[in-house]
Amino acid sequence: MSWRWFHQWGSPRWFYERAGRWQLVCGWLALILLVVGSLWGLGFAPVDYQQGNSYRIIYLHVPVAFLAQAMYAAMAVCAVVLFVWKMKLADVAMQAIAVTGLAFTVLSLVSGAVWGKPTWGTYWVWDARLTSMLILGFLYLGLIGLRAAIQDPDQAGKACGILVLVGVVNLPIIKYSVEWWNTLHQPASLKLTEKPTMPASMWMPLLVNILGYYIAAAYLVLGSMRAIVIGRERRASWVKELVGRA
Amino acid sequence: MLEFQFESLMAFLAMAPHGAYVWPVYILGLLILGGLTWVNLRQHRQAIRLVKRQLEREETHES
Repeated sequence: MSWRWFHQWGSPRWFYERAGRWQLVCGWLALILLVVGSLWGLGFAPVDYQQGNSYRIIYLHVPVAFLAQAMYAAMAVCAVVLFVWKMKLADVAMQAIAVTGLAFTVLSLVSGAVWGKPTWGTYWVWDARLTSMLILGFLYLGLIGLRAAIQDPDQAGKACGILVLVGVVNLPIIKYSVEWWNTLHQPASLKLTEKPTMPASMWMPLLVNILGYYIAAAYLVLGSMRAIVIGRERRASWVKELVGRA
Repeated sequence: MLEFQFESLMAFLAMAPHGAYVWPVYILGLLILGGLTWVNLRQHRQAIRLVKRQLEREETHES
């Protein structure tokens, strides 16, 4: 088996040149999916017989909550790649994902709190799911702070990699919090292994939005990575060549 | 299968009785996605500008 596809990722130049195209495709695809999915969920999905229209927050809340966790897992994979293969781009990805992941975590917490008011009668309870998500937010915040505090990018990358790997313990806690403890938060709405608890007219737009937000996250992370690569490689001849040509 | 669930556009915008909860969430989502896109573009432009300045300095040094 050829490992060329993997080794290519060791070249920031290779990545930068291609990521621009990938970003364009992701950007348009995400925009189309999110417009379709959101309008479908907001206007065409049936009203919930218990929660009324407030349940329509699900079409934003569930995708961003999924992503907040998936992005942390992606950072952990990057940390492993950084430690095992010393790939610089993995560190760039960690840096980019931390900011985007924090944004998605905040959006997930705020949308959940707003949904909680008409459903539970309160914006916030210190229950296991909400608290573990808040901790995820602090982990992202800690990573951004740690990187800002260390000047040498290589040292900062290593320190952040360790913190990311330690924080992975929080992911199963978030996932199983609704089963291990008595919580106000409902169990998972969609599972890969089971039939959805909602009718198709409700979960189909949700699926479109989940896909849309995933691709939007890829678009944002790629954009951020490209900017970081140019910043870090500013003394490399290929960057000077590229800027000189422009 | 796809049927608009509201009687009018106004009813859709009011989303009674939960419009005050649903719409702000989606507006915040839009602001965050748009904001991140803008931050990335700005960071990219700034990085390029920095390299340009560096190149100009190098050129004046050489001449």
